[in-house]
Amino acid sequence: MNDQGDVSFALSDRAKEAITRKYYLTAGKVAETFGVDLRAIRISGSELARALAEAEFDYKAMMRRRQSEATGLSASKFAGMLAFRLARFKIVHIVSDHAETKHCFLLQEAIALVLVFNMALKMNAPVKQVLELAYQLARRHANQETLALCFDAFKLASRPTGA
Amino acid sequence: MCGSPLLNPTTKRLMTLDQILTEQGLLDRTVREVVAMTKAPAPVQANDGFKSGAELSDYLLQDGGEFIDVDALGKAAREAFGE
Repeated sequence: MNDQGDVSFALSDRAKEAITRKYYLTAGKVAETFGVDLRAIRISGSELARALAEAEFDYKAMMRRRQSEATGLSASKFAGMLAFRLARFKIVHIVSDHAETKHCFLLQEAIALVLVFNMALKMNAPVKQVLELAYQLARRHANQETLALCFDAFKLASRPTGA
Repeated sequence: MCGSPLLNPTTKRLMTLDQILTEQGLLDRTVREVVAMTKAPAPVQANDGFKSGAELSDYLLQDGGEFIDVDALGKAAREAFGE
């Protein structure tokens, strides 16, 4: 509860710490498998902080707009907000041409998606579709609403028949 | 005036659209109804989800492990774009 007695939509510091820790660990893993030397990438902590703050702001704004304390907001919707912000802010920088591979332009988007699948959606998805979403985020048009719909679709597709 | 005359279905007279709408206060009534509808509560979206930041935070803190096969993702990227 906040000072006005309303429900608070702020994320806890522990949750933000967990997301931040997971981001760095995920970045290391994805960079390695993408063939990008870890010494050649820089992660901007301030941009990561701004992305998290913006995702939290999105969540608060949507909860207020929907007046939905009664029904809440699905994990997919929050995952859409988080993935979009983590993909759009200037977080990952590759500082050496020698470290570049043909697909390293997808690095930040892949990190964002792996993180939200592991932390926010807590579900598996076919890697080819995850890669396609990463490309969509990096080079085409994507927003948090369409991402959330994609995540909802993955959720529905992963349910056992008849569920 | 709004375009060509139309046949008023009530009076069977040819009238322009704005004349028909204005007649008997139809236009005013419609305007009042639309304005009243803007004051109705927003529809509540049916999502089974998190109702507070604390609830969402607790969910995020539950460590469910690794779901995406990062090695397979890297392999798919190499296949799609080359080394």
